[in-house]
Amino acid sequence: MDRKQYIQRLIEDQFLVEFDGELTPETDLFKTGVMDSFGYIQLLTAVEREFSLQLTDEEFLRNIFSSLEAIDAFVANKLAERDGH
Amino acid sequence: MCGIAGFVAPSLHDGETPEVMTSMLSLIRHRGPDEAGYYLDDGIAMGTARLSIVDLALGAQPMADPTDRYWICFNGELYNHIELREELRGLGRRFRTRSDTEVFLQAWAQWGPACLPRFNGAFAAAIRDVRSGDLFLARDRYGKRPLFYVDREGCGAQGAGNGEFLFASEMKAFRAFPGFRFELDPHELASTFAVWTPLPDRTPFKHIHQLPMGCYLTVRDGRAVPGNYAELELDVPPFTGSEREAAALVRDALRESVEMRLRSDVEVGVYLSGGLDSSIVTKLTTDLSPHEVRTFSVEFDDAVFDESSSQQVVASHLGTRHSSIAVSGADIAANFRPAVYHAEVPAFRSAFVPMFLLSRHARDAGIKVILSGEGADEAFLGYSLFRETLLRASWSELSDDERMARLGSLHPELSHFGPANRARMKGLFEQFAVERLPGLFSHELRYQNGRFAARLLKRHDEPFADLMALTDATPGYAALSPVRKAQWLEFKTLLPGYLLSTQGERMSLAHGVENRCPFLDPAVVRAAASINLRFDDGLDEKAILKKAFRGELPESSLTRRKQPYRAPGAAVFKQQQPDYLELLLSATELEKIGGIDPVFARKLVKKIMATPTDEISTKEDQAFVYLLSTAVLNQQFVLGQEIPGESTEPADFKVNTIIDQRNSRGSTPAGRGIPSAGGI
Repeated sequence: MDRKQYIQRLIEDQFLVEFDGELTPETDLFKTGVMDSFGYIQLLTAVEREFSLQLTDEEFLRNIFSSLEAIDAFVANKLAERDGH
Repeated sequence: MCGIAGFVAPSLHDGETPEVMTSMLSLIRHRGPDEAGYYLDDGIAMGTARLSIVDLALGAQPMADPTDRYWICFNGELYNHIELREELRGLGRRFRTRSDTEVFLQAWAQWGPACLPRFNGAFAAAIRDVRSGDLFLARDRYGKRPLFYVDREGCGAQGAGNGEFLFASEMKAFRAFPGFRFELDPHELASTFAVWTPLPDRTPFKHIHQLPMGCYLTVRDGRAVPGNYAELELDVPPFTGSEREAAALVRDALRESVEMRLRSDVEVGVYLSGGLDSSIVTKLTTDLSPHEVRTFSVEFDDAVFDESSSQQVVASHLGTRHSSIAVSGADIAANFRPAVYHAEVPAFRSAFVPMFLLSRHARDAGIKVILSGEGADEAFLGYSLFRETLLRASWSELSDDERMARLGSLHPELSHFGPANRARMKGLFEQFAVERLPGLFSHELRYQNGRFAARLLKRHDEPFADLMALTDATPGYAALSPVRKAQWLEFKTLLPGYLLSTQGERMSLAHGVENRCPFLDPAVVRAAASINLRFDDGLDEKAILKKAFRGELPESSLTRRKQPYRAPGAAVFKQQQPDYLELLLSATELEKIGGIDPVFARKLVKKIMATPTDEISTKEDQAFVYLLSTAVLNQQFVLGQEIPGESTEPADFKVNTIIDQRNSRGSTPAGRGIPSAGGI
């Protein structure tokens, strides 16, 4: 399972949704009502744990965790950054 | 306390009418076990099951005014009946009883619908005008007492003669009406799941409406015409005195409110949760009662939910005779079904079940009337929701440090708002700092949970559409501040639709105990609205209430953070595995619930059953309890199975008063020398 599929699975399990025609990787998960506060925290914790990432406060403040695409892009960036060093 | 029921049904066979009327009352007899009575006229019937509180001997219903023009079936109390009686006497009206029912009736005869804003009470009433043939229904301004109706086109007076209008204090009474069938309404279920309660005029069942709080309805010539007599007024002129004077105003208004609610021919007890509001009510009750006051409360095995130590402190400080019941998960599971039967609407949490048990305990202790603290959080900005609204509304003006600090004080009881997650929460709040659902800004974060539960329905309508339409159509709503909009929403949804009903009135009346709410007195609510945020920034909840009662309550009541009253949810059903859990575990059973999406429902149930309790999110827990309560309602109301307690047979149900006026007047108008009724 690749990175994006893994994140997709995390979101699907956490929010009991399925990515299909209606819910796409670009869908804003806040606007569509998928995200709630508890689930949001759990999801980010799971992402951090799974990819051994430490997100900074600054990073949490950007609007980057609102869709599968955005989360995946962010994780990809962080991993590249980490592996680059 | 009472239950009322009746119908306008010209096509119902005369011979059937008494039996139907008796059966309807029998189905709500828990509300008024002392006596029952009904009134019949051609094509119309109405009756009361009565619990006697004031004027035990002479308050029998239905009651007529001295001219026999008006007949009333009354459920509830007018707390200001003594003052109104004096005023009406001054206007030449003569009284035969001491009962508030007669005051309601005479006020109606005197002023017509203009009497309603004068009432300080908790009531639902039906009045029959013999002369005009009208039937008139009304409900109190905060929705304390219930009133449901079914309007089947035209009531038969025009033309075909096969329409019907039914009304009752509880929907279950409709089961006794020939041809009536309960059917869940998926559209209303979605709205209920999303908003946490039915909207003020709605129910989860097709064809059944609620008469909204502060409204009346006139059934005339086969048409039901609604009217509104009391808007919720939050935008009042600000209090102009000092803070000390504001505290005195609040104290005096509450004292007077409690005093009026102690008017009763029977002993009045207090539900003491241990929090500020019920402590204030207890304090005032002990001040104003000539005898020792009895207090009652719930204890939980689980320390997370238990407040018994606070209760003990307050009870001993104020010298009440305190008794409590310990409620376990097993108790909640064992009593969930009968409690849902009384609630009649899906619930998002199980905390109403302990209140069902508490009212039984109070009744067994010989108590018929209870005071409680409901309404204080809505009136005096007690909920964290209000602080959250203030925070999100001012988000763009705050520094990061201020945001962090204020986030930290929002929900001390929720671990995911703890220090470790604060930066993440900040990211989340960024998403909710601007309004997305027009008019519902204050509730948008909460409504994320509701949106999840609304996915239990097959049809995916916008579940907030009707609530947005309601706020949009409410005069003055758009101009309210974000916090006042939040208050308005609480006063119109969670307060009447859950706290006063499912967790309040319906649970009390399941065991014939009447509840009274001193904080929901018009003068108290008005005082609060004029003082809120005048002398504080809203960050210390209910600051003015604390000031008003400083020195009179234990310090712990004044300083501890509000602890929301909660009870264990999905975990109970997982642990206890009651047999009715099969309604969710079996695919066949799930398919029987009209409108529910069995695929999503199965997925949710599977996840709940497989997830450790502390990892179940609030939204999942709520959706699960919604689903389970809906499944139980479907079984009891729609399928007519597993109906708890009372038999539907009226055999052991005694009707003491029968007024039969059918065919008694022929075509002659009935108003023999009746004085005219102003205002009608």
